[in-house]
Amino acid sequence: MASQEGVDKGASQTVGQGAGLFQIALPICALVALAGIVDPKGLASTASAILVTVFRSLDWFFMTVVTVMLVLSLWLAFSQYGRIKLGGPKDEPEFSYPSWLAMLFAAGMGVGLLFWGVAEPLMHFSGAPGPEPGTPPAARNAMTVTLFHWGLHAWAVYCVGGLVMAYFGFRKGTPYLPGAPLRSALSGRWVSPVAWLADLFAVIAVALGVAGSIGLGVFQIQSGLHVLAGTDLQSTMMSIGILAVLVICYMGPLVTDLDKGVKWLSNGNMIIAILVMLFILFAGPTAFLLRTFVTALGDYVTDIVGLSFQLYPFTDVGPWLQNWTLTYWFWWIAWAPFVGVFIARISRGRTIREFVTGVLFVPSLFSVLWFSVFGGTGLYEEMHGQGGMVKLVREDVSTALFSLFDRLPLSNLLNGTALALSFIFLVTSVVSAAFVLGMFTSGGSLNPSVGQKLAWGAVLGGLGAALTLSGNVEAVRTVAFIGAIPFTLIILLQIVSLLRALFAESDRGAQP
Amino acid sequence: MRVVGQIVACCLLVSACQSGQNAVSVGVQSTTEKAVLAQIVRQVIEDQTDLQVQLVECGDLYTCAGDLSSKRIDLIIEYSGTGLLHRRNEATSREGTLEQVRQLYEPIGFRWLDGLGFDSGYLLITPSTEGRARGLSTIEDLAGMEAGVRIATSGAYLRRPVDGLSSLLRFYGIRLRGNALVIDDTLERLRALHNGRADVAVVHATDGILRDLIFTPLKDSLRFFPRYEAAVVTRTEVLQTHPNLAGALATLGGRLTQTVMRGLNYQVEVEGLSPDIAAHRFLREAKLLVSEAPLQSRQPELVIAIDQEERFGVIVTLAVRAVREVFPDHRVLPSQVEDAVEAVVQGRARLALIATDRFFPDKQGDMFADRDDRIEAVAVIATAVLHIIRRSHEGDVKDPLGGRVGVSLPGSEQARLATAILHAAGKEPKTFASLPKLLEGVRNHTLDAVLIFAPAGQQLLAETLAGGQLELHKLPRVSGNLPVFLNPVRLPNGTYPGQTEGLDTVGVQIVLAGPAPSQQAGPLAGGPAAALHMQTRPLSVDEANALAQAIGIPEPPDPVVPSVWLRALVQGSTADGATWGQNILDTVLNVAVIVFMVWIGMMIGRRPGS
Repeated sequence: MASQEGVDKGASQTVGQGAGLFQIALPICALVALAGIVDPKGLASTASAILVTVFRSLDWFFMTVVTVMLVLSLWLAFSQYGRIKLGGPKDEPEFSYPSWLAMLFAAGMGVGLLFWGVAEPLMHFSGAPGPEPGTPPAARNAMTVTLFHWGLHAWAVYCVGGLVMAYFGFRKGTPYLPGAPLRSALSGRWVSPVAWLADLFAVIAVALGVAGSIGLGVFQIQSGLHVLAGTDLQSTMMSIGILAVLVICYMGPLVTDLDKGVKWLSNGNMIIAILVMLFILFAGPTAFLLRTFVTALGDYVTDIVGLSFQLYPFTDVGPWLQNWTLTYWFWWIAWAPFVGVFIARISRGRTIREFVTGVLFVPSLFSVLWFSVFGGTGLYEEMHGQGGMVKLVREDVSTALFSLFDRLPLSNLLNGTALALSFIFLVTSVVSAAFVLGMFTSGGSLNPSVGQKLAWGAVLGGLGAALTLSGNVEAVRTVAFIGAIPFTLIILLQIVSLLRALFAESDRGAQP
Repeated sequence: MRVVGQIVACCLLVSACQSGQNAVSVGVQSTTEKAVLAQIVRQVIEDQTDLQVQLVECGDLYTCAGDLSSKRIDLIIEYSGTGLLHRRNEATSREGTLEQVRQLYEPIGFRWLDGLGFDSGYLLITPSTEGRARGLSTIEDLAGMEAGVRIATSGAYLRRPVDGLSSLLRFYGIRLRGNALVIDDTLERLRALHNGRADVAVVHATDGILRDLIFTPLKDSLRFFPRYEAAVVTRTEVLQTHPNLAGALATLGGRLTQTVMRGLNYQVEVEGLSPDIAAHRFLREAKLLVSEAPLQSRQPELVIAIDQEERFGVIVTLAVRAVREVFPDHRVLPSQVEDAVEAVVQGRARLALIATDRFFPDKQGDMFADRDDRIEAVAVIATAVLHIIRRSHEGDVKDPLGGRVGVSLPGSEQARLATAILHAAGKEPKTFASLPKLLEGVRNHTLDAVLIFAPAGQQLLAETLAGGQLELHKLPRVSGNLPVFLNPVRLPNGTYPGQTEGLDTVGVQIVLAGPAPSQQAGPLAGGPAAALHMQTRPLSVDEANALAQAIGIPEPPDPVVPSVWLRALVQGSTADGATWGQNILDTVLNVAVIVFMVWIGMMIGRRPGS
C-alpha cells in the first residue's frame, strides 16, 4: 500500500532528523539577536517592510486560512473522525481535565490576557470600525471585536497545530517535530528539505519569540514595580536583578518532570487568575458584568460568521484590520509551533472530539467570561463611573489594569497579585518553551533530557538578557512574528498531511 | 464596585462618627499650601497614633474657625498673622508671633500648637536687576517713585481687609500708577513683572513658582506685615480627649522650612503632584514616619526632557504648566538630561523642550538632508530672537557682525545658533562666555559685539539697553545661507527703551517636541504589537491643539520642522499610494498563493488510497 509505504519511509527518514537542529539554530538565533542589538532600526524596518507587503496584498489569504482552521476543527470534532483516539487503544489521558485546561491556557495566552483584558475593549470602544466611537453601540461592538480576536479563531489555530502533532505523534509514532507529519504523509523530493526547514524555523521562531517575551516581561515587571513601589524605572541593576530571579525561578521547574514543573505553575497561575477575575466580578458591578457576559456572548455568536470573512473592501478603515485582526492572527500562528507541540504533548489519550472541545470551546468560553469581566469593568468605569479610562489606556496600555484596580477595593492587593501573576506567567512560558525546544532538538523526543532543557533554559536566558540589557527588544520580536508567514504555509501542509492520513485510516477502516 | 465602595465608605463614616474616640477631622482651606499641610498632618497623625483622620473642606478662616468652635472639625492649619488680624482689627502690635496669638485665642478655647517652621508672609518683589537699577531695596523706596508704582497682585490680596493692598499703600504712602493689575495666577503675575507691565508684584513667600526665579524681595522696613507662622490650631478639649495627638504633631515642629514648603508647593502647583503624594514623600525623606506605610494612591509621571546646558528659565515653568493642563492626571516633571531628543526617542521622556535647531543635528539646516525626523514639534512655547548688541555712538557701523564677537557658553542652544549665523557670514566667534560677562566685555571694549538669543523684550536686555551705553543692530545680509530653522523676525520700535525704529533680525522657535510616528507603517505603528512601547506614541492633533491653547500662543511650529500639524495635513490628503512595483508584487504574491492553494487542494483530493 502506497500510504503505508509512505509512512514507513517518512518514519525511517526522520531517524536522526533534528539532531543537528540545535547546532544550526543556535548561531542563527544569536545572529538575529546580535543584529537586533547592533542595528535594531535596520532589522525592524526590514521586518516591517515584509509584514506590510504581506498584510497589504495577502490579507484575504490569512483571514481565510484562519477561518478554514476553525471550520476544519469543528468538522473534525463532529464528523466520524471525532471518535479517533490520539494514542493507542490503551492510552489514558495523562493529565486531569482542569490541569490540562490550565496548561493549555497558560501556554496559549498567558500574560496577554492580563495585559489586554481591560485595554483592548477600551481601545476598540474608542476607535474600531463600525459604530460612532464612544457610543453604547461602540461598546457592544468593542466587546464583539475583542472576543473575535481572543476567541474561537485563536484557539482554532492552536487546535489545528496541536491536533496534527498529537495525531502523528501518538498514532503514527513520528517524532514531535513540525516537519514530521509532512515526512510521514507526503511524498516527493521536496518533502525532506521543506520538513527540515519547518523544524528549523520552528526552533528559531520559538527561541526568538520567547527571548523577546523575556525581554519584554522584564521591562513590564520593572515598570510595574516602578508604578507600584516607586522603584527606579531605568536602573540596569534592577533589570539584572529581575532577570536573575526569573532565571532562578524557571531553572528549578525545568529540572523536574512536566507534570511537576509546568503543571503546578499553570495550575497556580490559573487559580490565581480565576480568583482575581471572580473578585472583580463580585466586587465590581456584578449584575452589569453578567449582563455584559450574556450580551457579548450573544453578539459574538451572532456576528462571528460575518466577522470571519470581513476584510472591509468597500470601507476605508485605514490600517485597522492589519494592525489588530491580522496582527492577532499572526501572533497565534507564530506561537502555533510552540503551543501546538505543547498542547499535543499533554493530550495523549484523548479523542479528537475531546481534544477539539477542550482546546476550542472551553478556552473560548473562558475568554468570553474573562473579557466580559475585565473589559466590562473598564467600560463600566468609562461610561457609568468616574470616566477617563480610555484616555489612560491610550496613554499607556501597560498600566490600564493597575489604573482599573486603583478604583476597586483592596487595590494594593490586586496590583501586587497582578504583578506576581505576570511574573509566574512569564516563568511558565519560559519553562514550557524550553521544554518544547528540548523536544525539537532532541529529535522530537516526548521527554527531552534535563541537559537539553537546561541548555535551552540557559540560551533563552542569555538571549533575553542580551535583549534586555541592550534595550532593543522590539526588532527581534518582530522577526519572530514574521515566522508566521512560513508557518502558515507549513500548517497548511500539515493539514494536508493530517487529512490524507485520516482519509487513509478511514479507507482502511472501511475495508474490513 | 461603586456601590461597594460607597457602602464601605459609609460604614467607615458611621463607625467613625459613632465612636468619635478614634477619629479627628482636619479642616482644609482651598489653597495648595493648606492642602499639602493638611495631608502632612493627616499622615503624621495616622502614622503615630491609632486615630483616623478625615479631611473636611472648610472655606476660609472665618468659616473654618466657626466649624472649629462648633466642633464640626477638630484641627485647622493657620498662619499666626492671619489669626492675629482676625481677632484684632487695629493695625497696632503687628508682631503676630505665635505666643501672641496663643494668648489671644486661649480665652475662646482654641490652642495654637508649635510652629511648623516657616513664615508664609507676603512679599513685594521686583526683578533683581531693575530693582538695583532703580535703587529699590525696601517697600519704603516705592513711595519715592514720582510717577507712581504699577503693582500686580492677586484678587485675594486686593480684597484682604487689614493687611491687604489698600492698607499697605496707605501705610507706606505709595502712589499707584493706574489701577492695580489683578492677576490671580502667580505665574502670570510674574510674567507681567517680567515683561515690564508691572514694577512690583505681590506674592507669597512660599509660592512654588518662586523656586526657579530670581527676584529681589523688598524689605518691609516699617513692619507693616505681621509674621505669618504656620501652625496647627485646635480646641483645647481635643488635645485632652486624644492625649497622643499633641505628641504626634510636635514631631512636625520646625521641620518645614520656607525652602521645604516652597519645594512642596512647586511639586503640587507646577508639576501637578497630588498633595498626598507630595506630603508622603516629604515625610518619608524627612524620616518623620514611624511605619513604612505604603502610599495608597499614585500618579503617572510625564517627563519633559531638557538639554543639560540649556537655561530656558521661566519658559520651563510655562511649558510644564501647559502640559499639565492637557494631562491633568499626570505629574509633569521637567528633567535635565544629556540629550533631550534621545530621551524622547527612547521613550525615557514624553516630550522634549528644545529649540527647533535641534531638529538639524549638523546645523547646516538642510531640511532634506539631515533633518531628525524621529521627533516632531507639538507646540510652540516661545521664540528666541537674535539680538546683536554693540556699543552705542560708534558712528555708522558697516558690519554689525564685524570685529570681536562674543557668544554664549559652548554647548548651549545660544552658542550653537550664534555660531551658525557667524559661519553664514564667514566668521568665527571670538569668545564664549555667560551673558553678563559678554555684556561687560562689550562695555569695556574687550569685545565689539555679542549675539544673544532671547525672547523679545527680555528684562535683562531691556535694562542693559536702557543704560544707553549699548545698542541693538539689525542683522545684516550675510553671504552664506542662514540655516532654515531661523526665521525673519521684526522687533517693532519701542520693544526696548530708546529703540526708535523696527529692527529686522531672525528668531528660532522653542518648542515642545514629542516622538514622531514610526516611519514604519504596518503593525508596529498601531494595534497590539505597537502598544507595548506606547511611551513613544506620538501626540494626537487633539492633544497638540489643547497644548497650543494652554500655552496661549496660537503660533504654528515652523514648517521646516516635522510637526503634529503637518502630519495631520498630510494624513488628510494621502491618495492611494500604490506604485506600479507594488501592484506587480501584489499580483505575483497573490498568484503564488493561489497556485499554492490549488496545489494543496489537489494533494488532498488525490486520496492516497485510491
